[in-house]
Amino acid sequence: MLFHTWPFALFFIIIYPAYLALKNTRLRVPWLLAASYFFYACFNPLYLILISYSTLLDYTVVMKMDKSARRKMWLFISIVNNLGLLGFFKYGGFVTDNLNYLLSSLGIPYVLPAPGIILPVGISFYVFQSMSYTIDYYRGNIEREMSFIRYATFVSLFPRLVAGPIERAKNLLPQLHKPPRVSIQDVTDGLSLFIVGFFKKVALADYMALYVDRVYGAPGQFQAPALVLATFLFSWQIYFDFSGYTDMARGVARMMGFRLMLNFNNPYLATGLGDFWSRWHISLSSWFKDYVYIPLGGNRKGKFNTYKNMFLTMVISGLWHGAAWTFVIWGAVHALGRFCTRELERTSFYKERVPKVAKQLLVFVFVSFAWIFFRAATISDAWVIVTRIFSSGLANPYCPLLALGLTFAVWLYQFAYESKLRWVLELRYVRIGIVLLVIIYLTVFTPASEKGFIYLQF
Amino acid sequence: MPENNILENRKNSGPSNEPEVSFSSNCVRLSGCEWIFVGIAALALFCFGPTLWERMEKFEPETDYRLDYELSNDYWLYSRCCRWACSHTKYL
Repeated sequence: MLFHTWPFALFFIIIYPAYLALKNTRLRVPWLLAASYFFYACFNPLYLILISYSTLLDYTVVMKMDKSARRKMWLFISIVNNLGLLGFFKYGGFVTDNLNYLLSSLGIPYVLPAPGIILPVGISFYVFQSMSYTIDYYRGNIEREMSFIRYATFVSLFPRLVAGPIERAKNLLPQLHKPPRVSIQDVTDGLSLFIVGFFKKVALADYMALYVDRVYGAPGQFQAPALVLATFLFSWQIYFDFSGYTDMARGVARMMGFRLMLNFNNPYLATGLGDFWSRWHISLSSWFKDYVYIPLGGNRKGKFNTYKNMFLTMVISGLWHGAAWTFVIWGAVHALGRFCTRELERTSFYKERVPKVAKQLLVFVFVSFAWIFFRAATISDAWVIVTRIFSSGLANPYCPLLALGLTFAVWLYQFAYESKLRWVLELRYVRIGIVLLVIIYLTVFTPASEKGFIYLQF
Repeated sequence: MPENNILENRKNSGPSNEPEVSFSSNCVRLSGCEWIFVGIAALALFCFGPTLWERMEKFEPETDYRLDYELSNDYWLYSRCCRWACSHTKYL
């Protein structure tokens, strides 16, 4: 049940009026939990066992931590359990494949059976959210949640369940404690967020996917211009896809009186890779910063250790995205890029002489290059794309101009949004005009889409 | 990834802050009245748009006009073609 499909519309039409009716009663949180579990069960009812187990364990761990002197041991149990769940369901196949490869290279005639496990939707997101609760409690950053129902709702709240944002307990739990004030403005704000997200997903991401999938499906058959354009378009496709999902999630939550964190802040206007990561998937970036990078030592122990910690954090972040070597390489490429740009950003020439647009272009080109490893099905495919970009001919890419035009229009909008011209975009008639154009475009030009979100697979 | 700017963003997130700061990374935010206006305008466009467009766009095919294969998904053109054929020829 995805946000941009009719089943979700039906689901929301049923649960929303009941939620509004119950919002000032004690049944509000149980209703939300029931709705969230139903939403999740629509993907596969067996997933409920997993999320209930993870929730129950972390709730119990914090309860035990509250009463026990051995807090560290309970934290360790929680982390091992959460990472174990993730490891088994997400990386089981990856580990088996690599072990089999190792055994065959050593000439050992034994093949480990493939686990054949389907990756549960959203597991990486809710496991991280649940884990942050136990770590934050251990650190003394939050109070213990006494109600199991409320805690289970915090872990499973349906707008953000399957692809984030990865909310922190100190942001979301207090919102579950008090009855929300759902004003007309909340509903209209939610609608505004939802329509933008819907447009990003259905009209832009899914449209660009047509070209990107064709080129990346058989990279050896395409020449440099097509490969370059498909790579640039994929950069925007994944942004539209994931930020579109987040906008819709935030919109739905807003209509229910919840305020989820901003997850994307025009990342392709970043002027450095550090800046990029503070604008892209903010909830995950800040999660890795708080629970991986800083515990590793952060930037406190000299340059070598800082870079080592950055490298480890980025590689783990890459592995979080998927159980494949392509994601590890993607993380490593970003880490290496970050080392270079961090040093570059310290020079007065780069800081003062290089124009902002040139910096943005440099970041975009680098990030797009790294996306090749993220998008390619295998490392050899990625290698084919990289080599063909530099060595193949210049055949006509047959890229639809509309895709390039729409991308440019969005970039121009974002550029204006972060410039002195922002006031133009804030004018009432401009805002209304944009929404009208979006609605017309969606109605007239966009076919019904049930294409899944890229980040659901993570 | 893990650098200073994240902190600035985190300051702007969460329920305790002004929603205006962290609402979105664009200006598309309409009030109730503005949504009503959009609804009425969209409805008017969907009701009268096709008729107006048909008057603006000339469609004068030759007698043995056939739809190109590339336009076989163009149902707007197909319906115009059918209506034109019904009014000009004995058999469709």
